[in-house]
Amino acid sequence: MNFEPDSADQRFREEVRAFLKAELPSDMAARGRSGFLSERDDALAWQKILAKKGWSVAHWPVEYGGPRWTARQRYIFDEECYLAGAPVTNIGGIGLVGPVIYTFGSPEQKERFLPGIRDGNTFWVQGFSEPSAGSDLAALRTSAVRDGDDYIVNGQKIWTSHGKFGDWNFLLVRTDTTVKKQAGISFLLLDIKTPGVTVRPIQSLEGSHHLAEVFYDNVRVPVANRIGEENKGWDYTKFLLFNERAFYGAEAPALKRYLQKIKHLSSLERAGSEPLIRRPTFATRLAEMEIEVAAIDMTVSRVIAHGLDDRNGGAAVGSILKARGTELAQRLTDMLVEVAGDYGAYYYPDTNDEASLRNQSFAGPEYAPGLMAELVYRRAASIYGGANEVQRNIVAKMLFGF
Amino acid sequence: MELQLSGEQKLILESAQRFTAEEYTFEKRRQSVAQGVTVNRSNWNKLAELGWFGIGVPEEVGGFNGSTIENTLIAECLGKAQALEPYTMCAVLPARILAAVLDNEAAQQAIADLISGEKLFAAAFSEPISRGDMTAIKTTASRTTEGWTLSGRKTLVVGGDVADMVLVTAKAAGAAAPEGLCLFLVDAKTAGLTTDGDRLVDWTSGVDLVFEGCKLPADALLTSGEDALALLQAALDAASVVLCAEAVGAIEGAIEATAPYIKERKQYGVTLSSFQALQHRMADMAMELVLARSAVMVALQALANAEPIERSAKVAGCKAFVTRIGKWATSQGIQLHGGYGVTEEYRVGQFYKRLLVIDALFGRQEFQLERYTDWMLSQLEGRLHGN
Repeated sequence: MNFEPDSADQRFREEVRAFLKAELPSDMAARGRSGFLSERDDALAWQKILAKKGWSVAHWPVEYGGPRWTARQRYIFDEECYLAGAPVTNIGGIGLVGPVIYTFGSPEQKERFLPGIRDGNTFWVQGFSEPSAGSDLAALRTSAVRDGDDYIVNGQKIWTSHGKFGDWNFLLVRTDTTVKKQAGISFLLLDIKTPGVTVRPIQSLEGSHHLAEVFYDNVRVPVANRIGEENKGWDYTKFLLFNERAFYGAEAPALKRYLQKIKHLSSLERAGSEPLIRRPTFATRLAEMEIEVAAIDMTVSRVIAHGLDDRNGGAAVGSILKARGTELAQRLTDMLVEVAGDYGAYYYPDTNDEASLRNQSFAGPEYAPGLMAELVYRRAASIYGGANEVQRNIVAKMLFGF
Repeated sequence: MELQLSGEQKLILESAQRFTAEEYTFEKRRQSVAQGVTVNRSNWNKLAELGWFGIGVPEEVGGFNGSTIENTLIAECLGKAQALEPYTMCAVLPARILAAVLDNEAAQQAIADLISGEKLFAAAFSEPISRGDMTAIKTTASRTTEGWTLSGRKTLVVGGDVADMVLVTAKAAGAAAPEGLCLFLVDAKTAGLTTDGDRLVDWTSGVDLVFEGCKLPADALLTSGEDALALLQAALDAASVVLCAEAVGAIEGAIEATAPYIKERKQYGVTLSSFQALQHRMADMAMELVLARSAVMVALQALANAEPIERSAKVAGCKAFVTRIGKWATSQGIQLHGGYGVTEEYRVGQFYKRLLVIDALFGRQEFQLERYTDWMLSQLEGRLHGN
C-alpha cells in the first residue's frame, strides 16, 4: 500500500475537467444536475459530443472505439462527468448490450449495431423483467417460436427504463420450454418499430413516465438478430448482469455528488438566522454519511486497482457495493430533500421528461424541483438490478456457503 | 389512568373505520388526483356532517366536546384510507386556534363556519427559514390608519389553494418575534393575496401563499405577542399529535397492503412470505406500528397533563420518532412490493409519500429532536451545575 497521488491520474482529471468546461452545454448540465432523470435527447446529444472526442464508450476495447483508458481513468471520467452534471448516456446501449454484442455477436451484428451505439444514434432499452419474473429473472415466459428465418415473439416485459424512448430493444425470450429454466432462454435484438410491439408507459411514484411495459403480439424478429446460440441466452445475460453491477452498482460518483450538493445548499439555506449546516445535528449526520461515502469509494478503488480478493469481499463485492451504495444513496437523497425544508414536500413535474414545461417557473428555490423525484426514484434502487435482499442472499452464499 | 378507549371513543373509532372503508377507495383517489382535485368539497362536507370538525372543541363555543384523543382516532382512519382531505391541517388546527381567541367576534363566526363545513380554513404559519420554529418568520404587518398591511410569503400552506379564510402569522413592523408576533384572520379573496405552487408530493393540498400589500381591517388581528405564541404553540402541538396519528394509520395501511401481497407473490417457485428475511422485515414493521401508536399516546398524555415546555418537547419527541420509523416502515412496504411498489398504480407507495409530507409539516425530525433534547437537558440543569 502506498498513497502517493498519481500525477498522471491528476493530469487526466484536469484534462477531463477542461473538456467538460468547454463542451458540456450549460442548459444540459442544469438538467443533469436537477435530479430528474436524463431523457433521450440529452442522452444522445451528449453521447455524440463524447463520440467526437472518442470518449463515448470508455470501457469498450480499442477496436470498437474505446479510448484505451485504465480502470482508474474510467472512474475519474465518470466522477467528473457526474459532478459536472453531464447527462447519463444510454446505459442500455453503451453499458449493457454493447459489450454483449462485441463479445458474443456475429461480425455482421458488430458492424451493424456498434457504431450506432458508440456515436449516439440509437437508443437501446432492456427487455428482461416480466410481471412474474423479477428477482427470479430466469422464470421469464415471453416466447419465441421459429418460423423460417424469423422468430415469432409473444409475451410481455415490464420495468423497461426509458421504454418510450427506445429505438431498439434487447430482450430475453424462451425458446425451449422442456428444459431447466435457464437452459431455454435466447437473447434477441428487436427494432421497436416492428409491427406487434406496444409500449405502455407506467407512471412512477415521483410522477414521471420513465418506466414502461412492452407487449409483443406475434412480433417477427429475424433469426439473424439473435445473439450467439439459441438457448444460450442465460450465459450472455450473466455476463451483462455482472457488468451492470460492477460498473453501475455502487454509483459512488452519484454519492459524491449528493454530498457536494447537500453541503452547497445547506450552506445557502437558513434555519432562522443561521445557515442550516451550522445546526450541529444536521452537520453530524452529514459527517457520518461523508465518512461512509469515503469507505465505499475506497472499496470501489480497491476493486479497480487489483480486482477481487478475499480482503475486499471477493466475488461478493459487487453485491456488497450494490446493497450498501444504494442504501446510502437513499439516506443521502432523504437529507437532500430535508435541505429544501418546506419545499421538500412540494410536487414538481419532471421538466426533463416534459420539455414543454421547461420555461415555467415553480414555487420555491430554483434547485427544489427534482430533489423529491430523485429521493422517490431512489426507492427503486434497492429493488432494480436484483433486490437488495437477493444481494444479501448472494453475500451469505458466497462468503459462508449458506 | 385508563389506557383503554371509553365507550364513546370506541363508537367514534368504529364510525370512522366504517365511513373511511366505505367512502375512500384507491380508484376514487386516483381519479381525483388525475383531475387535479386536492380537496373534494362534497367529501369535506361529509366529514362536517359526521361532526368531526367540532370534536375537541368545547361545547360552549359550538363544538362537540371531546379531546385530541378523539381527533387522533379519526386521523388514524383517514391516514389509513389515504384521504386527500386535510382533516388535521384544515379542521383540527384552525379550530384549536380559533377556539382560543373567542373574544374576537369574527373568530366566533369563523369557528361556527368551520364546524359546519360552510367555510374552509387554512393555517399559514411556516416560511422558508422557519423549519419548525414558528417565530422565525419574515412576513410583516404594518399598522395603517384603517388597520394593517400584510406582506410576505408563507410556505406549505395546506388548504391554501382552496381555503375561504386563512389564519396567518406575521411580525409587527419593527418588532421581533415573539413580542411582535401577530395572528390574523384573513379572507382568502383579499386583494394582493395569491398562491404559488401546485400541490404536495403525495397529491394532497399545499402551496405558498404570497401577500403583497394586503390591506386588512383592524379587527383582523386576533391576538399578538406572548399570548399569540402560547396559543399557537398549544394548537400546533395538538395538531402535530393528530398528524402523527395519521402517520400511524399510514404505517398500518402499508402493512395491510403488503402482508397479503407477499403471501401471494411467487418467485423461485415459492411465495415471498416463505423467506425468513422478509418475514422478519414484516415483523419489524409490525413492532414499529405498536410503538408508534404508543408514542402517540405518550404525546396525548403530555397534551393532557404537562406544562407547555414539557408538552411541546414530548410532542416533538413523538413526531421525531413516528416520522423516522414511519418513513422506514412505509419504505419497506414499497421494497417488499418490488417494482410495483414504485408505481402510481399500487397504493403502497402513497403511504410512503404521505410520511415524507408529514415529516415536513411543523418542522422535520431534526428540529423535533433538537427541541426534545433541549428540554431533556434542561431537566438535568441542577446536576450539571453541581459538577
